[in-house]
Amino acid sequence: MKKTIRGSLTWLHTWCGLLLGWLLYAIFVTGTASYYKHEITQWAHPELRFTAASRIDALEQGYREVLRAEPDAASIYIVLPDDRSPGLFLGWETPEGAYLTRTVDACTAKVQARDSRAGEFFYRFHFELQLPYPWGRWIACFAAVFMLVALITGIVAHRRFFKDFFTFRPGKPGGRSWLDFHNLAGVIALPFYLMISYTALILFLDMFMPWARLAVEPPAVQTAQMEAGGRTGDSAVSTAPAKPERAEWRPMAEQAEKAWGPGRLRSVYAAGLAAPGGTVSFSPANDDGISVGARAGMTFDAATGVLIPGEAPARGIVTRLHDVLYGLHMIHFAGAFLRSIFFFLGLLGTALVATGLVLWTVKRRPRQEALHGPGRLGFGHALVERLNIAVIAGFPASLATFFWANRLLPLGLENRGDREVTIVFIAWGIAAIHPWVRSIPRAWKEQLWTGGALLCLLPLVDAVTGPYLGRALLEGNRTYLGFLVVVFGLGLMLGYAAHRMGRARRGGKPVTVETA
Amino acid sequence: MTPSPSSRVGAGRRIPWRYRLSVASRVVAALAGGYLLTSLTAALLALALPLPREEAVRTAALVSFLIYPAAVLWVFIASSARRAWLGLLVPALVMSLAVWWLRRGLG
Repeated sequence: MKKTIRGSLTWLHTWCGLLLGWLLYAIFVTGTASYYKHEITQWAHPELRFTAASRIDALEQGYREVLRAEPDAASIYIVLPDDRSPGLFLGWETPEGAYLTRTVDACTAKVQARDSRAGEFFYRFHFELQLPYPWGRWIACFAAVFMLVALITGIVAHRRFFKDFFTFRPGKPGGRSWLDFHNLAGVIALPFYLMISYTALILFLDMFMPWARLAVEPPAVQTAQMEAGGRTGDSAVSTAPAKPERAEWRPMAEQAEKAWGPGRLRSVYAAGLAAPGGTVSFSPANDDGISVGARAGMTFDAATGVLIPGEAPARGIVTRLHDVLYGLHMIHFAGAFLRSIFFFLGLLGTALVATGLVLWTVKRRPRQEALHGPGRLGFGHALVERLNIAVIAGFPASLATFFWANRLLPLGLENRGDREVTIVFIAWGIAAIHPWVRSIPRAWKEQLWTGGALLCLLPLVDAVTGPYLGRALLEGNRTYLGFLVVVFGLGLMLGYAAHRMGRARRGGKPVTVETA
Repeated sequence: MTPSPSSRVGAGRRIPWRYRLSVASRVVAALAGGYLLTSLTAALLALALPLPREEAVRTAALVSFLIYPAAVLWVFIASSARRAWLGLLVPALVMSLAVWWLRRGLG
């Protein structure tokens, strides 16, 4: 692009970073929140409580509850509670093909949690962007590739970053402190960013890069797979729907627990129940090591309850490496301390993207004013500034409305869970329009203050909408209170940013936009 | 601090159409051409690596994820958009032939 390679790479960093930055920021925010997906869910489903009920009893209760709701369920998926999530997740497929879910308490399987996507909303948004399948996943994969590009070019563009690492000049004019912070956030966690973007691609290996597998399949198999829409293992639909026998689950679950040790059983997936040949598969928890592989499940015949012997596939070194890299992204293995480190690194990544986006505008502002007159900006430049506001300040504020909606929407509301998400997008829409009716510095301040206030006032909303906060205080529920403390802290950070934004612009001339 | 390299084609000044076309062409090359090259690398490695099938497939995909960003860098380092495309399509053509040749044995 430029005369020198370094110039070209710096150019690429600037423009790839700008166009990618808005998307990457949303992915970073929701991904960072997803490290505490289960803790968010604990707060968002306050009806569910930890019980001392045995896991096998809980499974039994859940299974009976599913059959009560749908005696002819074609497939059933049950996730047992663990020490991060008290609820029992029930999912089943109706004979008509609809997939229904319900999260209930583990003791009776009757107390139902409020209809809320809870932590799952943040988790899904992180890689599906609330877009129809599979568009969000594909966009997220391309974002991961271009994040790698942005990181490599960033090392070149900010090549003096090892020197700059020891430099921080807060309050320096001309974008120096923005640059220093961008460099600092970049250097501190560079290995984390490289790891997280590379491993993101590994999660979607078979979707994003199916060509390796397709290349080694003989052509006949390949065509069959293409016709099946890439899906394998789907049971054939039986033409004679004779209702097959159903063996009790308890003996199977006991056999699995005996094999894995107490408390290791995590989920059960029963498939093909509508026709003969159905199976019930038990899976162990995967939090006992980094790798996600190697924990073979146990599969039983759904009619007879007899264990179907499966051969443990030979696992070569690359397959094991793949499973470790996969696990590094998901960090199911991390305890409380390591999880908080990853959360902090996620916040740093968020700040890296945000400062990069702001830096783009700060560096170009003097030239804009030289070109258009003091306080005046060209249309393209002003568009970037406004999008920055709507994303950097507007997105966290919109996410805060999710928590408010979780507590304020009537519990019996139809499609309550969907409406929570709708509210987030309405709020984000307002955040996108707001910078066009306010001046740029005012819009920054107002959106940051709004986000800060929404987050900081959440404990108050919680206290006046139900008994849950009081109960958590009495019981000393550290997860519940911890969630509110972190949310409050993030609100303070937004408030501090709003305060700084006000100071930085004070004395500056009002900015108007020249629409050329 | 060195001045921003993009200052030569700054805001407000007329940006030549040739330049815009070159950028657009390179963006397409980076997205589509990069994906094509990456896919062919994955397919070729999976076929050519002397490893058990599952191992070869995983290795091929893991390596190909490094090829994609490298291809994007090449597209923007190349001195012209034409050279950028050639640098992607010539290896892609060679690899396509190799994949075709290796797949003949699969039956």
